[in-house]
Amino acid sequence: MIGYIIRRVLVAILITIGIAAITFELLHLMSGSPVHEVLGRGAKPVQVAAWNKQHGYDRPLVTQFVSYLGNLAHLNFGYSYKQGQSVAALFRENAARSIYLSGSALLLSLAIAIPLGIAQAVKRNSIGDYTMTTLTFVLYAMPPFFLGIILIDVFALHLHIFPPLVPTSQTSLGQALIHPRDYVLPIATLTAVNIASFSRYMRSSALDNLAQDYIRLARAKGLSQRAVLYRHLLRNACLPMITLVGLSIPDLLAGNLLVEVLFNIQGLGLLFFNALQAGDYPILLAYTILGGILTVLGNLMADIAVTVADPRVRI
Amino acid sequence: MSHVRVVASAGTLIIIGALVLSACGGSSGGETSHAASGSLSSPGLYGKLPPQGTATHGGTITYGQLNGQTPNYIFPIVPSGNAGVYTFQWQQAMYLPLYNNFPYGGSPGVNYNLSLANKPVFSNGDKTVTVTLKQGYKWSDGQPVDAQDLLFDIALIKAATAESAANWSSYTPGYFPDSLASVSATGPDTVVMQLKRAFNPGFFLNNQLALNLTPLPSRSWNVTSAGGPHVDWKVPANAKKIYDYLGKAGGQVGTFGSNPLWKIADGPFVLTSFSPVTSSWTLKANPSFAGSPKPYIDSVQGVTYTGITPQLNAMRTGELDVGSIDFSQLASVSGLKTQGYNVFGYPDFGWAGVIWNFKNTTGHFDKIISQLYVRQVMAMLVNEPAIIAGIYHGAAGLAYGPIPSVPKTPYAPANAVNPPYPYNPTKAVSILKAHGWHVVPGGTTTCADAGSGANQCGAGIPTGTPLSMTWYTETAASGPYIPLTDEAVTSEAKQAAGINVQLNQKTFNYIASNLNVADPSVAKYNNTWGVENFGGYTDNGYPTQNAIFNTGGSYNSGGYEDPKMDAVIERSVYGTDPNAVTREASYEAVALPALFLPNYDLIYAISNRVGGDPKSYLALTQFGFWPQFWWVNKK
Repeated sequence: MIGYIIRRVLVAILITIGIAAITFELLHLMSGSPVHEVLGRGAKPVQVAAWNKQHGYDRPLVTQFVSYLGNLAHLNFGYSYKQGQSVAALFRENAARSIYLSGSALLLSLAIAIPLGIAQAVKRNSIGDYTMTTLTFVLYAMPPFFLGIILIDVFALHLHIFPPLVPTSQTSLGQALIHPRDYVLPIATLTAVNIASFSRYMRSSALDNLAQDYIRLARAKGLSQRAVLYRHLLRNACLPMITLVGLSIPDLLAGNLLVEVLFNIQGLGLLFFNALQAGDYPILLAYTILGGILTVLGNLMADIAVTVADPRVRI
Repeated sequence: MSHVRVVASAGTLIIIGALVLSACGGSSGGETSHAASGSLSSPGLYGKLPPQGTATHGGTITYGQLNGQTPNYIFPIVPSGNAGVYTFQWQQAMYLPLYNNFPYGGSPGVNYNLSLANKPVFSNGDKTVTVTLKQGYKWSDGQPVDAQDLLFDIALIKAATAESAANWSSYTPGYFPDSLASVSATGPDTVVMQLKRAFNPGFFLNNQLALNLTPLPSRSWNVTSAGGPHVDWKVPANAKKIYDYLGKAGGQVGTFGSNPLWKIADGPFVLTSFSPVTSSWTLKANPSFAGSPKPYIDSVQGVTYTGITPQLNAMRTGELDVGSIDFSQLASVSGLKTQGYNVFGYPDFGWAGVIWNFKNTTGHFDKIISQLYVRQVMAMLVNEPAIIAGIYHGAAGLAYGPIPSVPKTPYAPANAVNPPYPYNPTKAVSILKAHGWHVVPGGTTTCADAGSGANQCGAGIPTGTPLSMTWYTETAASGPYIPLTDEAVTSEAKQAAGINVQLNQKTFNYIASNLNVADPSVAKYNNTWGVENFGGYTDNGYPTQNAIFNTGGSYNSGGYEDPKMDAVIERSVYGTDPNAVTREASYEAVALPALFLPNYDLIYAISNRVGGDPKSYLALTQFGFWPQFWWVNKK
């Protein structure tokens, strides 16, 4: 197991360098330098040249990349020339709220989707199953942004139960935890969308498992329905969910741009989008690389979790 | 010299790199009197300005700002990379400009009430400029604001630009401070500048003196490190060290609110907090401010929103007093009005339009577009009223040249109101036919009569040449309005006159970086594009198109060349005629070095909780931020 993990980590490092190289190249293919995004069309030629020199964009591409990798090895992700802060500081400032938002929604949606999927499988083709299937299809098809607007309109602007947006003054996780009401609608939006997806997987997996011999045997032994479901079905049916959750780890970083924008949450998704608009290459590079690392890590964690959950799987 | 602008976005992030500079001509007037309703026949103010209300003292007003449109530099010598208009307007609430470069009201113009100095005196054939600072102004630490502070600013600007041209966003080689032969204080409040050559006074005042000259506290900021000793800034080596220290500190957003340097202000407000996470800030009334009026409110809070939707929702719940509105949100305006908001819009002073590429030889496009009649035909195919109604929902103004009729300015030529080539597809087709083209509406119009005669296609255009062009427009990522406008224009050209346009969408950076014949490093693109649209330019206070349309101008991205144009621009910059820039604009509207399009509004909503001189709110549409004129209304 340890050897396997070390191998995977080494591969992850290579993948990260590859991602860095591709992202670096792509950004420079778009434009050799983000100078016009930063300075605008009205920048004078001398200013363009001076700015490129200041930020190293006048050097050959390979030199820039090697220099970037060197900094990366020292965990130096660079400095955002648009925001006047190091990229690491910007990530530190914004990560907690994004993770809180995505993490809460992930946990909540699992807590709801797993029993819901099993219940639908057990009561398949019932009115309840059809109703939930219809509802989840609607949610699945609905863009989170649209769902969020509906929730805001109903629960904030008409019923006045929850605020329509997270106050700008909330800049720390501590403040978010102290004011949980502010996050109800954004978390509900993401949760609803996740449930739609997770519960379908869960229903399908539970249906497969319910048809297996071991379930029939458990029933033949005279176990109660409750015992069959909890002791035998649940763990086996959840195996695909582990992979699904592992793959959704990168969403903690990036997945919620639209919800962040809609509910006024200054988070990582928004940071990335701003950087994209402003040609803030250091943030874009760091973001893509971190996304790659999280994807690799998510996969690794899912693989390990599957072996723990299912003794038949060996790595 | 103008600055590029980017149309307000329907998305979350609006980057306006434009810097509005002021013009001479005093205060604006009459905007409210022609407050129409966005009527296309009488372009003017869209909606309704807030009433003045009844003043009280105290309280806080919240001011909405969008992510990406927040200040990110506090030291008034702003580098190019930080030169967002929202940085400048915010700084000027704390550090008074020598001459205000944002308008008060809807019309551009230096307002001496908002400036630290009286009207400059030009003498010696306009080669000597005498600037007298007003007396009585003080810094927060009690030091007077005087001539030394202006000289200190100039010394640091010289140090900054000597180090790197990108260190001062207002720098253009040959202009300030290069234009100075010498500068000295001839009295405690008087500075005399000797110029190397005479400039048109209107140009020098608005486009050099008002270009972000800001007297700085020479007795407090003359340090090279935090808590370090005060040094003689008149020694160039010291000036460089001071600039290096202040310039670096000026960009450290994490310490904006805490660095004692920035507490020393002479403006109506002083910064008390700044969030490095959201760039939200609080400005408190500065008790040592000596100008008039003194702030009515205790503080103004800049509240950052992640996008236009949460900002609108904040207004719908009454949490935000002053906020911007996007065109796409105009349908929600009626609801906002019932909740006590006044919504109004007014065009930013400048022009929107497309640039022709006069150097593209593909398909003989250079020969085609150099024919004035072809450019006239294209102008006649632009249905501005329809674009304004359909795309901008009425919130834009008719514009036929670089100086539009609205905002109202003393510079607008007669043809800003009566366009030389009004929308007329029938006439456009007849002009093409009269010049030897076989016009096929909806099809492909081709040259049928080659030659350089008056009724032929024009020199260098062979028979059978199709009338077509490759047109680059911005992607909708930063707002759909530019591509939608271009689509409307090109569609009309095709249907009415058989002009085939290959419409390509590219990012702003792609267009700005590559489609520029003035930049030899991207010459390989010169034959790939015929037309580009990156949004247009915000005019300076003195709205010459110097460097944009004159031969060899650094922003002349289409390579337009016209000796007469060069001459009229030369007079605007270096001549003595106060009307030179009007004559220049008049000629530009006729010669069409660009295709001018409707000038879109900036739209704001103001809560009836707050009041103040309506002009101070109208100024927001010109990026003027003057919260010292605002108050919380008496209930």
